[in-house]
Amino acid sequence: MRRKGLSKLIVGVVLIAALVAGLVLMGGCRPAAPEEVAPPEEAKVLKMGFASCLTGTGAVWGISLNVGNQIHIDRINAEGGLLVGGTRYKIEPIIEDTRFEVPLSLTVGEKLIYQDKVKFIQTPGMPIGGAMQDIAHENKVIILEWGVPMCLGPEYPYYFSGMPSGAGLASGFFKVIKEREPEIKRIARIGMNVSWEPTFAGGERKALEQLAPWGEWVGVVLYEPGTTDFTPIVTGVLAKNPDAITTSAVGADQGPIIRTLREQGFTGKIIMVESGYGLPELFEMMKGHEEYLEGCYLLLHTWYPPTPEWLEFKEEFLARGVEWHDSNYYYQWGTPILAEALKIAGTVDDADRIAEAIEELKIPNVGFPDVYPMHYCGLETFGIAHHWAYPKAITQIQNGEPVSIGMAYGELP
Amino acid sequence: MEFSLLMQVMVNTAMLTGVYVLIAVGLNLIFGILKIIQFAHGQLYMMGAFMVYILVTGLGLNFYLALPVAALIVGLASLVIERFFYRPLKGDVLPSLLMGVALLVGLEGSFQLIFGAQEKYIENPLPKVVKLFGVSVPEARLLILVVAIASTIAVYLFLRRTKMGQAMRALTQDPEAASLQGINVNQIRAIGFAIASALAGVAGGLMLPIAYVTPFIGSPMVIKAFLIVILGGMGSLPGAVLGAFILAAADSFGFTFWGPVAALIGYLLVIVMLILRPRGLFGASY
Repeated sequence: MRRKGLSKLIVGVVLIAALVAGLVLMGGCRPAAPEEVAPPEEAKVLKMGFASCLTGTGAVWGISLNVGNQIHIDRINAEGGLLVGGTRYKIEPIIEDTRFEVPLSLTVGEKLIYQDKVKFIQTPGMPIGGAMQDIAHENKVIILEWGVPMCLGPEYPYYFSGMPSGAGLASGFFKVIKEREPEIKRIARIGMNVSWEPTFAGGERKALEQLAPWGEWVGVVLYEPGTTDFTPIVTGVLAKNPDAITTSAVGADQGPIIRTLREQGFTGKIIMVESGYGLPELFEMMKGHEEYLEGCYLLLHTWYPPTPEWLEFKEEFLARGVEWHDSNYYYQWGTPILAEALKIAGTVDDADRIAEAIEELKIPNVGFPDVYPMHYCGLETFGIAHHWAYPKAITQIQNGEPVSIGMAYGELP
Repeated sequence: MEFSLLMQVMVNTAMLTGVYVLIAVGLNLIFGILKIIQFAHGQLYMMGAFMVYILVTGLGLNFYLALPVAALIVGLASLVIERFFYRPLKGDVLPSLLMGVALLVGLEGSFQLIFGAQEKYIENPLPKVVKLFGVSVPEARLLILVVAIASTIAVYLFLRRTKMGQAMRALTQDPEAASLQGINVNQIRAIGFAIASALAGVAGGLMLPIAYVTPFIGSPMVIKAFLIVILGGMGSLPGAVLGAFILAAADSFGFTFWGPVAALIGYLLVIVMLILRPRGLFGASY
């Protein structure tokens, strides 16, 4: 009995020792703190919050957001910082992981706002931004959200939303397709069963109504997030006898959807309103069956052939050891927007003046040959001009190669 | 309704049943033998897909060779999981459940750290589509059905015709009595766990060429597996097969004709089953 007690004691001591050793080691394994260098007298620190995703299903977008913005932050800091109202600021990013979960997003928001005292937060998605919208508003914190515009309204003057919506883009996209494919009579849609789907589907439907009788909308078939076998979905959409199908899949869903459509004998046009990560990934998914993509229309973040500025950004991104996908190009704009707005407003504290400056901004998107001045729009649609107007390249696969044939602009009235 | 459409939906049902069977049979086997709810079973499905991905793209192995090797690796990994994470809990329901959740999050996180969050693909080794009376039957999906049928028969024969299988069945009925008969309970449980996990690994590997793999593909699949197990009956092999067929039919017919409402059908069936017949259709032991 005593022996048993003794061995328990020994096990306990060993465990505690292991725990202490582990903690010490973890401390030791942390990257060494950079050598303290006294900043130039006039350089202050400007904290920029990132309610991002490092893990979980949104990690791909979160990592895009973090790395893309870090490139701009490094450029600004390398030039001595951001000059706002005569004061120079070094930007310090504070990156937190929300796992793309709403409750955790609120906690992260509270931490960034109350503990870190940030005045600006960027997020890669609407669920995150929406979760912290009220506390950000109370504390006059500006949110730049790079997701679907579902939290916009005049009651939230410090909230800006990024993703160019289907409604904004579909109109221009379908006009170009109509000119090239006048024989299309019936269009059906495959969409994901998520909160933003009605916004995208509604925009698409509205755009098609304007082009009637071309491309009659014959309905949508929705799939659940996490679906990997699209056979029933595709059978369902083909039952509507469409001669063109639009898909608005996120991430890599586009690949299995197209493959299943072709496997089930669909020979009509596939129109990708949202093309997942980008074209290289799509070709990789179709390896051995690249012909499935022939003739497909896509709306892409990348103009083919890419501009030198786009290629330079990609190189810089890759140099940071992070996987590249074309939508990385989209998530980078928050820091340039804030930097320009702060310079114009001449303050880092007055949220009203900064928000006004953001509303007036025009940022050139050098990723496209037609350098489009991106800006916030949507006054008529949302009651506040806080929806990011962002261009996309209308691209068709011709003889196995992507060829950009026009631009669609995420403009909303 | 067009005849060819109806036929297509029936063929879809058969092919979907194949995937569901592979994952549900394993989960059911684990419940029968270890009496635990293996929440991380979907992560072994994910692990199987990743192993095939590594073996095919990293080591240049042929897909058909990579598949059994991946299943073996998953089986071996599951031995470690069983030995160090489940066995110390001695089958206590709540701690085992929590351990399952911890393993789910831990495995997802670990794979994300190693492979990133972005989807990975391989070239489809069976890209052809067989056309029969206007119905499309992709060969890759046909392979899943064939493997599912073969695996189920193999598991059935193993449980019925081998000494070890008999020992497993004895364990499902009365672990103490089985132990008194000289059955090495820990060893049999570990082997059962490994076989079940390897089946999940095979399912993941087979789905890879027609879908993709990310660290997150396991969780939706394990939810499906739980629905199947509850429908068919916990601890029953025929129940797992029937449950898989019911859910596949609900998904195929539902998504084709009723859209996303179909996702609710499986859950509704489970609710009805839990109220009317909590043990499921075949709630008997192996």
